[in-house]
Amino acid sequence: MTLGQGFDDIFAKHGALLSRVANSYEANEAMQQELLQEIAIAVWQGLSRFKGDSSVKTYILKIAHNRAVTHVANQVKRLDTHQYDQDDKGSDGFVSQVRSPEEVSSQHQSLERLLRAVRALPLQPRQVLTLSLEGLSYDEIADVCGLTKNHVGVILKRAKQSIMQEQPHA
Amino acid sequence: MHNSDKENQKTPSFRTDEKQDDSLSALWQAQPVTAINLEKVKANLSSERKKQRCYMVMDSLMVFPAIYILVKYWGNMSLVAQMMFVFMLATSLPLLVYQLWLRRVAAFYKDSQTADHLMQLTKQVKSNVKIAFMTKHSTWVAVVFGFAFILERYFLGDLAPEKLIKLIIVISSMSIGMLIWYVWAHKRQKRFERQLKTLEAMAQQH
Repeated sequence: MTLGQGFDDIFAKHGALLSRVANSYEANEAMQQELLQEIAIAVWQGLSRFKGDSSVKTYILKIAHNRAVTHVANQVKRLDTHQYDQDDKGSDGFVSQVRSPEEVSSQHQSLERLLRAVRALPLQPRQVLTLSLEGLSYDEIADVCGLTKNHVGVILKRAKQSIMQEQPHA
Repeated sequence: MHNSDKENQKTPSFRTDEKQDDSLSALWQAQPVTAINLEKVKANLSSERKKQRCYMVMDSLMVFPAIYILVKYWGNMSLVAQMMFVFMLATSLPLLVYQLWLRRVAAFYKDSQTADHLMQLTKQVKSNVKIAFMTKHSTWVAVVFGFAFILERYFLGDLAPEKLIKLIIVISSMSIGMLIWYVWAHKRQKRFERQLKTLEAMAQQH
C-alpha cells in the first residue's frame, strides 16, 4: 500500500470525526465546509510526519483543533468587528440557522441545541467536551489540550453541566 | 468481586450520569457530517505548496533591486549614500529571513498541544504586528531618505539640472507608491492587532 492510499483509508475512517470538529467551531454551513477543507489539508500534511507516538485518532484531532484555532483567529480578516465571544453565534460570528419545530424532528432540534451550546462554550471546555464525546480518554484529552488529567476532569464536569442546562432531556 | 456486584454498588446518581453521558455521546455522533472530497484536498494541497513557494521567491526578489543598485553604483556613491543603502539593506534582510521562516511555519501544522499552539500563534501575530508597524514607518523613512539623497547629490555631488529633475520625478513617484504602501501596512497592522486580541481572549479562557 502506498502512503497516499494509507491516507485515503485514514480519511475514510476518521472523516466524520473531522467534520464534527469543524461543526463545533463553525455554525455557518459554508464556513464549516471551508474549515473542514482547511483541516483536511493540515491533517494530510501532518500525517506524513506521524511517528506513532499516539493513536492516529488523537494525532489528527490535535492537528484538527490547532487548525480550527488558527481559523478562528483568522476570521478577523473577514469580520472587522469580530470578537471571540461566548454568545450562541459560534466562532465565525454567524447565527446558526434555527428551523421551526414543525419542520424538524425532535432529534434534529436536540442536535441544534447541543451544537449551539457547544459553540457557545469557551475554547477549552468546548475542546475537552467534544474530545470526550469522541470517546477519548482523560489521558488522551490531556495530551491534546496540554492539561493535567485532573484539570480535564474538572473542566469536563463543568462543561457537561453547562450543556445539560441547554439539553434538559438528553 | 463480580462485575455485576460492582454494578449493583453504583449509586442511582452515578447511573443517571452515565446514562446522560451515553445519550449525549449518541446525540453528538448522530450529527450530520460532510464527506471530505479527497481529490479537492490533494489539488488544494498542491496549489497551496506552489503558492507558498511563489510567495517565498517573491519575498526574496524584493531585495534584489537594492543589491543590484548597491553593486552597480557603489563606486559612484558618496559615503552618505553608501551608508543609507547599507542601512536599508541591513534592516530589510533580517525581516526577509523572518518572513520566510513565518511562511514555512504557517505551511506546516504540527501535532503540538493546543495550549502550545495558541502560545506560538500569539507570538507570531505579535511579531506580525511589529513587522507591519515597521513596514508602515519604513515607507516615510524611505521617502525622507530619497529626498535626503537628492539634497546630498545637489549640494555635495555634481548634479546637472536635467538629472535633478529626473531624480525629483523618480522620488515623487516613489513617494506615491510609498503612500499606498503605508495605507496597506496600516490596514495590516490593524488586522493583526484584532487577531491578537482574539487570540488573547482565547488564551484567557484556555
